[in-house]
Amino acid sequence: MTLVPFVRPRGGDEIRVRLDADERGLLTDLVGQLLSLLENGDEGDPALARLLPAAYRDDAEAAAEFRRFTADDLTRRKVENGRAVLATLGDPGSTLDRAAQQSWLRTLNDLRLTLGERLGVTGDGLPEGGDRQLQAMGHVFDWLGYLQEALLRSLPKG
Amino acid sequence: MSPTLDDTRTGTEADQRLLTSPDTPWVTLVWDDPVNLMTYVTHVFETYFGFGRAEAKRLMMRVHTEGRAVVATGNREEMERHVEAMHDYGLWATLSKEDEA
Repeated sequence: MTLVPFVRPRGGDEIRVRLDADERGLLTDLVGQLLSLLENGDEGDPALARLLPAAYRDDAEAAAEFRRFTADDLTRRKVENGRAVLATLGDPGSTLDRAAQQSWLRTLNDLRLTLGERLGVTGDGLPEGGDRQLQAMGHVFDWLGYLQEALLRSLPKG
Repeated sequence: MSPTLDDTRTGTEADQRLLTSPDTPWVTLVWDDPVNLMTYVTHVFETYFGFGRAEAKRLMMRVHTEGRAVVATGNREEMERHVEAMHDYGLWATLSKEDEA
């Protein structure tokens, strides 16, 4: 695991991504899955419901109308963010400008929301136990949080 | 809120109120969820709403400890824009009338 996954040279705005090949491979796979969920996911999928939550809690009609007007745009922007991340991952020498930094932050967050939904993460964190695959997904969830936290710390000020 | 029929104030006052505040204000609420990082929520409040670090942290802590916080007040269209922006960031946000929030 890369201990310092993001480096911003002093005084600069751009951030270098220093993930190793395995980490890039894993992230590429996860973002690919996120994109297929966004583009072809079942509307009733709870992960998709978390990515595009209801805007009105107690007014189903208003919530449906809001969704009708915003869901396509929100989905398109999430897909664009994911594609921007894939483009960086495909080029080990690339750096993140301010726009790419935002795409990375939001995509890492969308991945954590999706995985958190699948794993049943609660206010107490990851559920205890589970089989080996669930435990492995739990480690990935923690790692994504570590990446997001590290990226937040390396953002340029202002 | 609309003026009542037995409103005793002068027409001018009532008209003024109709012009400036045709509705109860709406609010944007951000809700606590188990996944979003506290640092990320603070970052969103700082960058999107332009709050200073201290205010952004105070609102984030309110979301965390009280389960939700009002982060903006205004008309319905503005609040819908804010809610869409929050969903873009992955925060769990809703809008409602201020007196129903």
